[in-house]
Formats: sequence, C-alpha cells, structure tokens
Amino acid sequence: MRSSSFLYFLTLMLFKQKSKHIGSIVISIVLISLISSLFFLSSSIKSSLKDTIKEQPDFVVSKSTIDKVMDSEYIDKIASIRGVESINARVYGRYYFNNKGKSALIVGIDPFEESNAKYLRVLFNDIDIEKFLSKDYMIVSSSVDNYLKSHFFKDSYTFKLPSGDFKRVGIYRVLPTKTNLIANDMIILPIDIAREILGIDDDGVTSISFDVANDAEWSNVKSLLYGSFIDINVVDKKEIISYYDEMFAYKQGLFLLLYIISLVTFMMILYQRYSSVYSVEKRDIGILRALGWSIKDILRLKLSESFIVAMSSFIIGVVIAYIYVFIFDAPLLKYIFFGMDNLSVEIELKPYIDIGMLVSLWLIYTIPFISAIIIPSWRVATTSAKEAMK
Amino acid sequence: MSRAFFNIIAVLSVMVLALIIDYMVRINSGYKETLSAVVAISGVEHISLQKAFYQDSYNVAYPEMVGIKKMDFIYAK
Repeated sequence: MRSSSFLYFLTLMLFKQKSKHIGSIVISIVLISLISSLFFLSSSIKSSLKDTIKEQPDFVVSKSTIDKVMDSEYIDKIASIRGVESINARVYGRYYFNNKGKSALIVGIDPFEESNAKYLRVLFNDIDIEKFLSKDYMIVSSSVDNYLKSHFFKDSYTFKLPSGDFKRVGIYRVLPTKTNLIANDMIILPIDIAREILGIDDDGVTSISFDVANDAEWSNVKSLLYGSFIDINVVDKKEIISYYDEMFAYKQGLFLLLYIISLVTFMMILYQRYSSVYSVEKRDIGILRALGWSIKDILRLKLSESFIVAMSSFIIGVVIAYIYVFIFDAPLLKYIFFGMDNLSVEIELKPYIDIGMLVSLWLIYTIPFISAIIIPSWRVATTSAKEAMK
Repeated sequence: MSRAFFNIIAVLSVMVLALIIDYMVRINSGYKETLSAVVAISGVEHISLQKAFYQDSYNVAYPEMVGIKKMDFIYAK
C-alpha cells in the first residue's frame, strides 16, 4: 500500500470519526496535564533546592531543648574539634505579627562580613551597605512586604520587643520573588537588631554552622559533638538532601497512585467503549478485508490512528501543564507543597523539565491507551470478511 | 484531508517549539545565582513552608522538650 494513500485514508478516518476521538482526547489531556503539573512543580522545587546545596554549610548545630539560645562556649568547643572550619554563628527566630497569627522568620546577618556583602550585591546590584546600616533597616521578602502593606505599614514596621518596648525598623529593600522558595516569610536584619527583636543576649546565637572538608570524617565529628553536648541537634548536608528526596517522593508517590487509579479506570472505559464501537464498525473492517486489506494493514491503520490521538493529547497536556506551572506559577497546586496557613505564597518557579519523567509518563499513558484500542480492533480484524459484514 | 492532518502536526510542532524556546530563555535567567545568594546570606537551607508555627510549639507534658510537630524538629529529623 502506498504511504501517501495510506496517510490520506488515515486522515479521512480520523476526521470522519472525530466525535469518537474527542471524548478520549479531552479526558487524556486533563489526566496528563494534572500529573505533569505535579511532576513539573515537584521537580522544579527539588532542582532549585539542589542548586543551593553548594552554598550550604556541611553541618548545622542547634539546641534541642526549648531554650534555643547557645552561648560562646558552644562555638569554642566546636572550633576545638580537628577538621572543623568556616564556623559561622547564626541568629534567627520566628516573630509573630499578632498573637497566634501570621509570623515571619527573622534572620540576623553581619552585612560587613565579606561573603554577606558579596551576596547582597548579587541580590541587589546597587545596594549601599553603609546606608543599610546607617539607620534601623531591614530587607523583607515580597510576601512579608505585601502583608505589611495590607496592614498599613508601607515603609516601616514597628516590632514589639520582648522587653515590652517598641522598635521601628524601615524597609530598605524587597527580596526578588525568585528567592521566595527559601525566603517567602523572611526578614533580614543586621544581627544586633535581630537579637534585640528576638530577645537574645549580645553573645547568644541560635545555630552554629561549619564545614568539614574531609567527608570521611563527618560521622566522627558528629559522634564527638553528641559526646560533648547533651542538648544539641546536628544536621548534616547529606541528611538534608535525603530529607528532600523523601518528602518529594512521598507527595509525588501519593499523586502517582491516584493517577494510576484514574488511568486504569479510563483505560477500562476506553476498552469497553471501543469494543462496542467495533461491533458497530465490524462491517467497515469487513469491507476493507474484502477489498484486499490484510490483518496487518488494518492493525497498522488502527495503530497509527490511536498513536496520533495519544501523541496529540500528550503534547497538549504537557504544554498546558508547563503554562500552568511555569507561566502562572501553579495556583492552588503550590499549596500542596508550601501550605497556606501563614503568609501568602508568592513563588516564581524555575523551569525544570525532567526528560526521564516525561518519557516514563509517556510510556505509562501510551501503552495502555494503544492496547485498549488495538485489542478490540485485532479481535474484529481476525474474523473472516464474510462474517464481519453480516 | 491531508492538509488538515499537516495543519494539526504544524500546530503541535509550534507548541513544542514555543515551550522549548521559553524553557531555554528562562532556565538561564539567574534563578540559581539568586537563590544561592539568599541561602548563603541567611544560612536557611529549607523551603519556606507556610505552616502555622504556633501549633504544638512546645510539648505540654514535657516543657523541656521540643514539640514533635514543630517544623524545625521535622527538618532536623
């Protein structure tokens, strides 16, 4: 059979029976776009977090008791461990805008520290660090900025201190929305002001981070730390990576399960539908057989027809998912990963497409889809032409 | 009829091409650098979950221990 006449006949069949295909195309697009959106969202978050791994310290030590503040004794003891380098004391804590209400993460930094100054310039090209320190200023995320603006704090916010006094701090800059994956509820302040707001003494810190260049020594360092202190939590970089993997695998797995259930149901409906359609179309296939078409030709026609339907649905579904996640930043779906109890989530997702995931999705969808159409066609095509035309 | 078929193929190809172009343009627009900068400055390495942090902030039965549902405890695990 010449390929151009086959193509012509295939197109003719597709357009002649378009009402038969529209239902399955629409359901396929909905299923594929839903599951692709979820995969795009989770792989984008995971990829962004893994991008930042290089900047993260190897270890973070914090207190496990309700009193979160550590003094200089902890830093000195950690510094005395062989192999420990780049020790950095950090001050952070949660500030509640009202009782049991919305909260922000206060982070105290030393802007004059060389690395902090360098990274502040990456975030804001024209930042004047001396001006930032000249008055009581803070850098806030866009979500915090919007929350404050909605409560009539346009250029500054008055913090309530643990001592009962009030402290007015001006908004110096707003962090780019690209950082909201990490900093959606973050307020960056000079370390002294952060301590004042959180009620921490002058030499108090809330966590200590450090690096250990030789990762074969990591377990030894951890044992030494737990041996030296009874009230600390030690988290290393590897644990954070495995935590991310577990968290996303869990949420993705739940949805994959739901997807497989809906896909199986859809395929069963499709199989049932095509079986009944083919009993009506038996005559058409009988005519084709009588005209000299072999079983192989008929199967080739049906295979091409279902492949085109599956391919079109898949491409449209994936493109819709891409637009939904990376152009509109996944409204509603993002709350599955970020929650919605605190400040509004204003993330700008990094486009990331996992080709392996797309190929798996294509196989999971296409193989049952084509099988659900080909099997009833094969059953009809194998009957004799005379019987089929009865 | 074949023209309609090629039209469909053309529309699908344009959609895929537009997706690839958008992807290529946006993937290199400084996401990594910006996010890495904020991680390096703040030292915060986990995603900004918008949970209600006042819930179970401490263990009522054993005030010396942290509440098991507190987010930083979960991160630590």
